[in-house]
Amino acid sequence: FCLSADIISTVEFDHTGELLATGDKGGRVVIFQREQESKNQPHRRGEYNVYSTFQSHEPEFDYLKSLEIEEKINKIRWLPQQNAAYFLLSTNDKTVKLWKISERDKRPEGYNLKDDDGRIRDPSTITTLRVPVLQPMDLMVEATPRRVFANAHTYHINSISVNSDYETYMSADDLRINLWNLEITNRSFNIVDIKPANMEELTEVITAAEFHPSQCNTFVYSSSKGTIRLCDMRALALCDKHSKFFEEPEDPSNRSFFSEIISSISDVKFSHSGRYMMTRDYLTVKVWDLNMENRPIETYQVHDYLRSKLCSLYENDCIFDKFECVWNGSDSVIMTGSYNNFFRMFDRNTKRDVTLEASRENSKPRAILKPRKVCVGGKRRKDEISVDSLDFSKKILHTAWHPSENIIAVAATNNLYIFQDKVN
Amino acid sequence: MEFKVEAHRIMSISLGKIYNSRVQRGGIKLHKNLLVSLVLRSARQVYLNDYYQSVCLNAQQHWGQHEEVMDSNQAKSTSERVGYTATTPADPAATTASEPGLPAENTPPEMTIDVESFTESHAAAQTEDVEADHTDCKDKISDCRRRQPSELKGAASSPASGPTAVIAKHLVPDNRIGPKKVKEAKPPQDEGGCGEADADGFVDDDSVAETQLDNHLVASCNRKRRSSEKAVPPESPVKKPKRAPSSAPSGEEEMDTTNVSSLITIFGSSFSGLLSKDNTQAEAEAGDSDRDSGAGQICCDQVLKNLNPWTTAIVAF
Repeated sequence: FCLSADIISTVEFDHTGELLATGDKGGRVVIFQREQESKNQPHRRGEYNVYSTFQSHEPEFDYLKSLEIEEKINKIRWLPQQNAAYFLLSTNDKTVKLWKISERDKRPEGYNLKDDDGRIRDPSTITTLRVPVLQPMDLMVEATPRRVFANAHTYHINSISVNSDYETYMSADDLRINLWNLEITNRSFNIVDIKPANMEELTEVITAAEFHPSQCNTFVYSSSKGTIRLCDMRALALCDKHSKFFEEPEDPSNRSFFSEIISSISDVKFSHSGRYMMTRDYLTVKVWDLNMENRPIETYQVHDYLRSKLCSLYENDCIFDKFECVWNGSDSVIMTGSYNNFFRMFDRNTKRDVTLEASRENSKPRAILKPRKVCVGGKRRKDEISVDSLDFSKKILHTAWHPSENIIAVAATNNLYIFQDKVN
Repeated sequence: MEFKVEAHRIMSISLGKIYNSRVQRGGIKLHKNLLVSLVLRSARQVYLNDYYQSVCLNAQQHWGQHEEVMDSNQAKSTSERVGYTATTPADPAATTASEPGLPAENTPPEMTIDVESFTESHAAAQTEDVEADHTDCKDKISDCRRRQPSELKGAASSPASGPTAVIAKHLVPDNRIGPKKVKEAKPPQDEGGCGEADADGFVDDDSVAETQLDNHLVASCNRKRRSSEKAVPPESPVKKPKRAPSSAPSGEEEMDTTNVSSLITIFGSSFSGLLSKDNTQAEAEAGDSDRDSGAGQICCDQVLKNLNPWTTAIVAF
């Protein structure tokens, strides 16, 4: 039994990999911090423990439009660390918030006018004067909202991305992308607007957007039609015209009622190098070279056995699931989730792929994950699982990869799994 | 045949999803609804392809029988209604004879009519075609009106026009546009909601009604141009029931149609809310409010009244 509010809706490592943030449907953010490796147990790599928990967003009601605004955290993005405190952006459907997470491990003690508990002392009992002194205390991590970026989105925010200039960031909803300065909350610039003059002519929406990792003028956004547009902010203030347009021609033999749905891109991520980008649609992950617009350079089948089941997946709404995809630190391996708590990794160099499962029953702590296999009909081998036995309620939509090490975080409904490379 | 059943099923599932999206937490998800409407449209195309193929066969048989009936009835028609009603006198005879025999085929076009109009409003890439064809079709309207009965007869006897004639039967039974079956599908209690939507979108029914037939024909011309097999002016049948709630339909429907039609009914009455929400979101933007509320009204009325050419009338409001 799991509360829907506990369902994890986003997972993100910070730039060092020391912190891991998760957001859930209930609007909470939980931050994990990696244990410092101890000299006593050199074989035991740092584990992640809860560092801070706070309520980022609350459910809201827009009275003007009679709309309830969900508190679900859609995305979290860390800012690079510039001082002792940590900063992250978290967003729900309508509002982006900048949170400061800071530590407090000392507190002043010895006030004159109040007790250590905080109660006001009776003035008549005060006979001496003393200077409060900072005393160590148990570590307390507090999160404070530093900026609230609100009222800029008519439609549901699906992405936020921090610019490499560390001064600006963008937020994207179904039809528009806005550029913000991190310091300024009452103003944002609209940089992409694909809303047609007549809403009846609407044919596609924006599904994801990301800034280039090193070029602060470049960003991409993906659409529900399976296309990606790369835009240069130096060219125009309003980037409705793209610099590059990435689209793979459709394979006519795969045409079905649901062709359009499964071609909708659910996630787009630049490689760390900035030379490539990866897109996820319902059945595949594609790697694109930014210099080649007419087709991806690599296509990986995530769960092609679902192609014949699209009608059932449409009925139970699974076809609308938005899977994310991630690169590893060296851009050599890509990872994405699937159903039945399976997640897949593709090695771009060796062209090998593996299916792993995130579940308590099938993996004990410190045990090596066993590769899984889905049997596509015909004789099922002992360890294989048949397509019809897959549990479609157990979906892995959100995963994250440590920026430099082989540590991955996998969100399976309301559970977070952290897997590390085996230490030899 | 299996395609038709499957497409039918997918269409009703899609409509159900759109209806449910109204009550989902967090408001209407534009992306999901867009995708659902695309599926709806694909399914409808397949469905109509299948449907028209079977209807063609039937129509060819029927036209041979009813040529004589048509001639005798044409003299009674007014000049304005020549374009359509010239074919319909044939149909009452056909209707009485064939309706019991073709209930399955009768009902789908009405459902798909609603569906088509809905998809038009929701994600209509074809509206561009409509506008391009609009001026051409204006000429065609006068042609239609002036068309001689003999021409019609000749045209109708060809297989290509067969479907048109048969469909016209459903669309223009008497004076009113709107088959009984669709009317029956809308329970009286929904009229209240529809009425409100009407009030929102239509300040002046009369002025709109005047252009009704023109637009009706325009829409049919547009449809013909867009796709050879779909020569259906879809919207008017849906509109009429809302306008004349007092006309009580008779219970003729088959069960499966009832389900789908009632889905559409419920959907239609609540759709105004759905789209007005969707477009009231846009109303909050500075400088866009007029257009968006117009768009909201347009979308709202599109499903309920369902003629693309209506938008030009509605935008005025």
